[in-house]
Amino acid sequence: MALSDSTLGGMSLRIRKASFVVVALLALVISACGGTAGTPAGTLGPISGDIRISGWSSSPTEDALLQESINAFMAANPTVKVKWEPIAQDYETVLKTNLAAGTEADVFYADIFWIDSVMKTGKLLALDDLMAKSGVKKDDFVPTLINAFAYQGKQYGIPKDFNTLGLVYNKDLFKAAGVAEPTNNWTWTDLQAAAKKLTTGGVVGLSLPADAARFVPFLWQAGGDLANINNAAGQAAVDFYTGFEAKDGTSKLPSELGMGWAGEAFEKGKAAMVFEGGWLPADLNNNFKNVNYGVVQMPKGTSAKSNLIFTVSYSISAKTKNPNAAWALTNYLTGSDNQAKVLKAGFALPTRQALSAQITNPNSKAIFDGAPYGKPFNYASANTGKVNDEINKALESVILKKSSVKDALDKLATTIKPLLTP
Amino acid sequence: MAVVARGAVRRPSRFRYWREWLTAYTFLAPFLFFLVVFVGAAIVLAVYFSFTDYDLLSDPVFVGLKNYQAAFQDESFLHAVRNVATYTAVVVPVQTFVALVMAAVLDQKLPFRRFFRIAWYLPCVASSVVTTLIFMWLFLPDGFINAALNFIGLNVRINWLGDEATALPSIMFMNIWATAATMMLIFLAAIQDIPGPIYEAAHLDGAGPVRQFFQITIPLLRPAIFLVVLLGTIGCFQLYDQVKIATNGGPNEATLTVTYLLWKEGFRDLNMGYASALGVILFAGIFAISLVQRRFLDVRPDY
Repeated sequence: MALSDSTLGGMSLRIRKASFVVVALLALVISACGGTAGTPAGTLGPISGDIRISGWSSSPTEDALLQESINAFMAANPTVKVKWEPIAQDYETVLKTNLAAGTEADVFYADIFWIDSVMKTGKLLALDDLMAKSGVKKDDFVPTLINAFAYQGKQYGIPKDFNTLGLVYNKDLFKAAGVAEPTNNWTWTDLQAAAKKLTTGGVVGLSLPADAARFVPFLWQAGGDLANINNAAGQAAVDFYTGFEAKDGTSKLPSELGMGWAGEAFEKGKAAMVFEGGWLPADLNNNFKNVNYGVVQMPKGTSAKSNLIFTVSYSISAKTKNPNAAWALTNYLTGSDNQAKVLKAGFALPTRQALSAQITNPNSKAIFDGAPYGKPFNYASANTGKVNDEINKALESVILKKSSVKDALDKLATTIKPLLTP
Repeated sequence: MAVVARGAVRRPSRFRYWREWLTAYTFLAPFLFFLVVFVGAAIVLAVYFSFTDYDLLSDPVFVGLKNYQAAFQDESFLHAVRNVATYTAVVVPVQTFVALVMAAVLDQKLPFRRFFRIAWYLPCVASSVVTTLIFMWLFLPDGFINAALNFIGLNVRINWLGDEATALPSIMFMNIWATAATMMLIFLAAIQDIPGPIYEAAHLDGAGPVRQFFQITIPLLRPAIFLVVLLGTIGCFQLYDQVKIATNGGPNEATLTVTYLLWKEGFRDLNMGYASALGVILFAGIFAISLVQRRFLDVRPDY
């Protein structure tokens, strides 16, 4: 499409006029947004701009709580506009696809269980300088939690909250079976004995899934470790965990009960005990108000107490156009005031050490107390997902009596060996 | 007459030829664009990725045939291939037979024929996600199917989808139920295409309806049977949605299929290179089997 000079000249005049208006408008908008900052956060300097924040959506109540916090942040910082963009499903895949395409949000959740695979790519912003400017110290947070989001000496995320596993039990079923309620001092033997008494008719004492995220604490409780999973301690742990179903008949896989996960079996009264984190009490309080439950710490194993720590960070994209504003939001959401609010709502536990004294609910306390002796859910760094798959397969084959404990573990040891040494 | 004929066979001028070419491709352009970009380029890239290690976040690294070697040493993949083979060996014959019987029945002048045509076709209209969710309820240990079996005196409590022995057969049942009607439609159309006089002649020669069915209908349906078997086989090889929704490949990999493994490797674990290699292997498998089937089922009709 060739244009004659005269048309071009006429058009360019119009364009020039139009572009003048646009520039004038832009200047107006920019001066309104930037320039004068709302509340300067420490020595961070003025913050402004549009920020997108993305995460998964656990429940409408939790969404509402986050939106409320975001609104409070925007009210305090009128120059920043924050948009919450939840990702409905397959969060990890969607986020990683976005990271590959460069369309990720400015601030997003990153799970301890796969953040290692992202930290090493350089797609996350190192937060150390921003933390120093705002006076945020690593010591403010529970060490296991904050350290899980560090890579080669740099901090790539601030833990937003955390969970461990607790023994969640149905008080009514315990009463009906005439079994004394569990305590924080229970041993493996106590658990076995109670499971036997609680298994009656359509109810199993326990529902243990073929899931590394439930089994691994038992491995540590027996004094075992993943690198030597087929040693005596590893065999004892697998024998104990799978024995509930394979030997005693006191446990069933959630799928065998026709349930999607162990928590559902508990909610529907098909299992008297399960090992879950704070998400189960939160769901029970919201959707299964008639279930009379309690939570205690995981039992003491043959060797020691142990637990698994699940945590999620707020991390910032290395490509964000407004790093100061993104950090200010992260700092606000992980700050004392906001974390105290989250704790009150009862979904998850605060990551700031100073707030531990405020945990008064005994159920939350049981989950919080798992942290000091727990280990984070990233035991094979970037390969944790693959190692979990292999552990799950081994557990399933033993539970379904397709394989002996020893055979399954010898095979498992060979398959996970290359995954554990990066 | 002669003038008209000459005019009709006159070759279009060069200009007209190009103009028609241009018009045709202008109309085709939007479709071609999507075909080239979203199918052609995707296939080329998938083949390229199958020779690399690629996790989306870092650049692909060329590794030669490593992914293909890994696949044939991967127990899960071999398990998936065995599952798919079993699944295909059962589903394709059963589904073809059921569809043929349904088509033959609907071809008769029966009362309520229209009602049955609609009723039998309904499963195809429903989304596979919805029908799978409904079947999951029916298959629950305390679900309808066990209740029905108990009602007729069999005292069972089978965990259909949760038991290694019954999980794959349950999915087979689900899929036959859902797809047989589509195949029936192909058969019905083909049956109605068979010229009536052939049946009349057979009738005069003294052939009864059963003999007519086996000696006329079935032989003349060979192209349709080939199509149904081919489509059925490809559908079986691509089994994914029911597995993803109902069993996640479990229990103990009893319902793991190649496409589910491909999804898991590629989109859950982000091993795009390995997943692409699985995709290429799957394509080669489907292509080879289609060629073999073509050999054995002569596709030309006999009349």
